[in-house]
Amino acid sequence: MKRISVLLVLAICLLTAVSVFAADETVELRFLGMAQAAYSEENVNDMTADFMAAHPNIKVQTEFVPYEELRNKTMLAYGSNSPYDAVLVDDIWFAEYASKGMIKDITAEIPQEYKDGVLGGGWNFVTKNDQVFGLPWFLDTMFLFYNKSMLSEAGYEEAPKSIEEMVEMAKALKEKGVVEYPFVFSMAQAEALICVYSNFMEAYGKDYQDADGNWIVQESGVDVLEFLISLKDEGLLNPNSLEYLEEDVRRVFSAGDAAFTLNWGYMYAMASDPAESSLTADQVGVMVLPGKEGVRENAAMSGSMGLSVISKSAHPEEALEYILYLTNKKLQDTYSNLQLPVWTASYDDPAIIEGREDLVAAAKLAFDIMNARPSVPNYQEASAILQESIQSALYGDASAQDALNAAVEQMNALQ
Amino acid sequence: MSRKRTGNYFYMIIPMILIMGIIIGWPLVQTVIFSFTNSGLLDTEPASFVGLKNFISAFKNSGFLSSLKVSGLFALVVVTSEVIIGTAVALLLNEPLKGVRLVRAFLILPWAVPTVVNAIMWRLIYNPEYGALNSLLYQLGLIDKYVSWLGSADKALGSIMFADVWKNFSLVAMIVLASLQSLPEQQIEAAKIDGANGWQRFIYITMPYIIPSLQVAMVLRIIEAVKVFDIIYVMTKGGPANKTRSASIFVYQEAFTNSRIGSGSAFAIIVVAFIILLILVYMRALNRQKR
Repeated sequence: MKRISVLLVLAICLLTAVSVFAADETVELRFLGMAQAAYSEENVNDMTADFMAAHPNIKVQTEFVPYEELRNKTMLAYGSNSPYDAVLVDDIWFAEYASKGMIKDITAEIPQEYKDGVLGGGWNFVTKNDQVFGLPWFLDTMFLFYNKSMLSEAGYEEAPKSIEEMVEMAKALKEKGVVEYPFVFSMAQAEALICVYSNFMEAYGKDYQDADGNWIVQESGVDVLEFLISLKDEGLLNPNSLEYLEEDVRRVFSAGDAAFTLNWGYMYAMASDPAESSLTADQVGVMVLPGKEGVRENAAMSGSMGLSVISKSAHPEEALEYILYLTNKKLQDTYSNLQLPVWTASYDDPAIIEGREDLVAAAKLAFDIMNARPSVPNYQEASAILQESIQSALYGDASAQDALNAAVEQMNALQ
Repeated sequence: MSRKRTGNYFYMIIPMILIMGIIIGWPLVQTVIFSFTNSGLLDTEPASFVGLKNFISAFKNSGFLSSLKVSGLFALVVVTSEVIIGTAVALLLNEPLKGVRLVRAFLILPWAVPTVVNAIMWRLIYNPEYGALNSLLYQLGLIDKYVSWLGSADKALGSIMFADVWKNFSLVAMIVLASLQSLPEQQIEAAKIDGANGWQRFIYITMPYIIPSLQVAMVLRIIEAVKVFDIIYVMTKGGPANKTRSASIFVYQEAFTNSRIGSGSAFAIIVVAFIILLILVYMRALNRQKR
């Protein structure tokens, strides 16, 4: 009996040692992503499951929050005792995260294949002061979507080539009773409003800041804001735009209640999906926003996102391994029906281009010319100030000039 | 009860005091400490003592003062509406009407709906393209085109208030109804015999009887209404043009979006002081009424 007891104790000790040893071998990572329409939670979890199958020693726990909560959640977790290992970062946050030392400089660890193969526009927004702080995961911009049938009904067979031509078409559409409000934009008090405004700033060839980083939007942005106000006052812009986010405008456009809208690339597939839209594929046009006559031909503002390793991560090598996997060409090509890849070669792949030639052509052009929103460490606060000021002007509470003067005064006080 | 026995009972509540101290007391103390510093969210730089600077700057901050106004107005309108509607509903449900028991059971439903669910539900009802409210008003001929309830600077706060009143009037109604159910029938009968009409019976018998319950309901609702966050955050996020930004949303943005824990804590303490002030004013009025 005594011998059996000793053997039993030894067996338990051995099993415990093995399990402890095995536990030590497994690395646990936490990833924070975004609940969104393109790469959905399910898609990312599928990618993660494949990664874990290929890396049995790494276990990844994924979490997803809406875009509006992504930055706060990342920062709160960073400030706590349990930061994430890898996170999704919007292009406007890279400057802030990098300046605060939250994300790891991975310049020396990026494989040559990535350096050579990923689109240059991708590296632009993850690079700050010649240091690379992340991997581009998807490139995006607000494309101009237009309803081909409506334009045709009003006698236009070609897409607009300038802002002026687009407005002229909108007026004709309204006069002929084709649609009550030709334009619908996401202009709720949120980042989406800044994205729309920034696209038109680009179309007008204007900048928010001068070369030294001083705010000049109170001079450069007035006519752009006055242009948006004129669309509202002339009844060309759906007045509900001021409470709409991207999903709202997608529904309005898909219901055939708007001729023009700006939205991210994900909308292209959904705008002609019978389950989501009353439009057919041949009714949906997509292009890069045309520029103002005599200023530029096209305009695009970056709305891209990248993946970074948190500097406090206990397993930075494994976290880098994970984000390299999520951005690899093969995987991105596999999911390219949801989100266009960040790899240059993918844009010449017939399998990826087929069936969405317009979108791929627009993306190829947009990703080449797109500019970023202001890259400042306190961007979030500056953006909130601008949102309020722009909305005040759109509601008629202040003139465009007064609203932007007030915004710049407040933004200067932040510095 | 002897002093010794009382002492024994005191030892028994020590664990509870410790738990409450850790869960409620420590964060409160930490907030007070933060409010006198320039602490940031990430602690990338050491925080330093700034004295009353955060409190002084709060009263110079037009955004914060405007958000306090929004919270004050919200509390005033919703609590008044809920008390009036809740009391009226309670009086109705206290009558021996047919089906009243079933209605009483349903009364709890709006209050039982989680605030976030309520906010999403009302967002859909207010939707400017396919919302039920626009559809109803249009079919009744009360509007000639669909209205943007949450996107209009002059309608957004009122629309949120309506959604909040719909959810919370039933709490007031339930508290008042419970009080009405214990009102001695003899007093009403005696008043009837003395020739008092319905209004006089309500003013001189029913009202004084339900006032203590009403006061409890009002204190609870004032606290909740002044610190309103979730329903506004889900419905408008403080927009349009910050017209619905409450003090709690402002505090959240200052502390977490702008990463300024120090000033965010100071603003939070001012909001708490604002609530305490409202309650003190109310309690003083209450005591005067008792005298």
